Amino acid sequence: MSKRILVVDDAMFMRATVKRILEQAGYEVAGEAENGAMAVERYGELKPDAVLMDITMPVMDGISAAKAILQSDPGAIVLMCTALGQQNLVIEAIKAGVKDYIVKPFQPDRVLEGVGKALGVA
Amino acid sequence: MGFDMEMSDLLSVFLEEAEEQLQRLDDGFLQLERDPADLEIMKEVFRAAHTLKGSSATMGLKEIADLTHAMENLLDPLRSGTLSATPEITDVLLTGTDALRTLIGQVNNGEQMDLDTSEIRERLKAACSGAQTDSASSKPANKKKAPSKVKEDIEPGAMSIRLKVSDDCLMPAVRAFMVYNTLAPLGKLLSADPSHDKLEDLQAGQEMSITFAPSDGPDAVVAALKSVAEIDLVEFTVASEETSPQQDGKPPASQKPAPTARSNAEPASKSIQTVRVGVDRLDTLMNLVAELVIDRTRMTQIGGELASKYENEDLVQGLGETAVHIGRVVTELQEHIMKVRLLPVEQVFSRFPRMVRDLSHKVGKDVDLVLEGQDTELDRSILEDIVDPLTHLLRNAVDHGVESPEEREAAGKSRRARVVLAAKQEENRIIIEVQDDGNGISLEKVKAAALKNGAVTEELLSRMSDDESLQLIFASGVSTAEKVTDVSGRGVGMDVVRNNIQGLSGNVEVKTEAGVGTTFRINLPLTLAIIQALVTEVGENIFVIPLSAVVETFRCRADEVHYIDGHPAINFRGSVLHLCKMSNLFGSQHDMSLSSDDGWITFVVARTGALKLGLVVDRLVGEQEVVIKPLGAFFGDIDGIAGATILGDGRVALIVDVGALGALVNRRKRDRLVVEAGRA
Repeated sequence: MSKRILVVDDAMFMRATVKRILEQAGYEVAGEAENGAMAVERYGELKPDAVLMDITMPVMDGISAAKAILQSDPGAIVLMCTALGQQNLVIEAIKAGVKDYIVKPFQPDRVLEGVGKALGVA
Repeated sequence: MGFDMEMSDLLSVFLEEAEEQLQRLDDGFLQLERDPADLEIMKEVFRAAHTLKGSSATMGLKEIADLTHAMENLLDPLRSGTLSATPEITDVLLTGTDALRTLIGQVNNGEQMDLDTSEIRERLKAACSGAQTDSASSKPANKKKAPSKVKEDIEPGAMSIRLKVSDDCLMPAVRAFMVYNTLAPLGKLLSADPSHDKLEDLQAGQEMSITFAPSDGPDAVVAALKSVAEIDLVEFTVASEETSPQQDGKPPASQKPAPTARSNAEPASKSIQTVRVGVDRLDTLMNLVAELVIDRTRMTQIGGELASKYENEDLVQGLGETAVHIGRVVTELQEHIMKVRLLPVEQVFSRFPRMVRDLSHKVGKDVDLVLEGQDTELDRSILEDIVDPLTHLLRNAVDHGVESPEEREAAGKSRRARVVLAAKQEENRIIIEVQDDGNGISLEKVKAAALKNGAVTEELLSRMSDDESLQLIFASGVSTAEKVTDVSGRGVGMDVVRNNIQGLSGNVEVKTEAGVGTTFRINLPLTLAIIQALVTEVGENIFVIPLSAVVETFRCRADEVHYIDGHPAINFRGSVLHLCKMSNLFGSQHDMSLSSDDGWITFVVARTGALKLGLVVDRLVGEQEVVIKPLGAFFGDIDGIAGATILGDGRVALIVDVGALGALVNRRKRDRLVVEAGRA
């Protein structure tokens, strides 16, 4: 069964881009969320294998959301999607238990490498 | 991995969102100008710039990505409070937004992006200089550093590990941190180069050297390191028993604390499930429903006939019940689809604060634009078409409506003028008002201009009430330029405003009070696709008249009709009402005289703008909901006909364009200098 992934980004364009990359590689996008609060909620509903989480989002940012998800499920596999210049935030996320990060603009190979390694399938 | 990222179909998503981000930037900067200390707004504009940067970079739109990046760099210190917004900063940010709009517009039109943004980026950069610059792209500027030699003398069982960060790694420091983080639970870090507090020095392609004392043997360490992306294990050696302990590795806790997460403790919002649907699909749905509405009417009619023919048949009764139910469902379907097509007026209103700001700066006014009722909903096709009229009215309000701060002060008013753009729903009509607190429109100037342009005669004018004369500003030929002053040289007159609005089955009125201000009130239908109409018969033809234009129906004796310059009119409730003989409006006969077999003339009193008309028909059939269909290219634009519709009995009816008929009568009045006019 293909791995199920939750894609979180406030920009629909970004979600669509990531979704395409993942689906072309045979992953299933289990759901999408457009802010951190929705991500936490959807994670609970969908129990995806991994989460791709944007950092800068309204309502609740990605770091807080990642922390909340990891608190409820310490085994959660969360990857941060980040822009250059947000390294301090990424480090904070990794300290909190986030598995990896992917830098925007997304390159398909990088996204898949990161997701694959985090899920232990590549 | 060979990946063909076909982005073209994502372009529309990008463009749509880019439009939203631009609007957010514009709004945010304008609010910032009012209140430079508002950090919430700062956060929001930062997010918008940040998102746009990421999306445009992914689309490969470098020019846009570079510019948003430069804006983000300026927004970052503003957001963190190390820099405060000055008018100059807001200005350069707005200039940046304009450039973005131009670029995105070019992408939208499939053109090359040919705007050079280097100057704007320089200005953005210069504006940053008040604060620590470029925190959003801090790339370590350190020279390449050769990895220090692997220590020879290390703890027994300890590993010397050499790792290489991939050449194209984008955040090497984070990778290094991940290495340490991965290792931490597996043993004790003895030494590391670069050390924890020098992580930023690490460059892509550089090597890291680590000595590490694993608590569980080297294999787990190797496996763990392999799970870190963009890190290659170059080599590792395990020290033998003889070597002595060398140094106590510091635990990876000496890390510089990262900035605290901006945890917004807002309660988790209930997830809103939305789907974006293309306008064309909505239009198709609407068309299909419109077909159903026609069939529903026809079915009800046939059902009625069947029932009277076969009164006692169970089947017919069952059919009738089913027909009633289908009719109800169709009605509901129609209502819901109509609701889907409705958009909040905010979508149009949101562009005006910026426009008003720019214009008021240009003409030296201080204007506060107040938006009200932004969540009022309107059919999207109407929404698109009211942009121009509203733009015109607002420009007028700023340019001519309100006075300069000095004049206002002298008149005992606040220096800052107030222009209100308000929308609200009244039954099934939408009212949009543009209201200013300026000096009012000079009635004398309007009258003079109207006379000069031949829109009215002296005599007619002398009979008009002030309110009626004021409406003359909408008459074509009465130049707004002469009404007050020059209208920014756009050459669009108030008659165009009125024609646009009448084209939407709406109308516009103006009220003014000297020294207090002017209000334009636009009255629009909720939707254009399906209307309530009055069905009438004229000879063999059926004409339907939009109910929104109908004032009342009336009958008079044929001998009450007078002829003014050959055209029929009657004395209707004390004023002159022009009669339009529908039978020869679209027919070949030009006999103006009115007669009927029984000596009675039936007409529908319809209103367009301030003018009332009597549309003479043979018979009134009744009210019905009709679906407007265009006549099609074969017929082209026929003056006085807004479209066609199919009635319940399958007959085709023409929909009367009352506005166009009014224009026809107005033209005739001007051409022939008809003295009397049918005014309400």
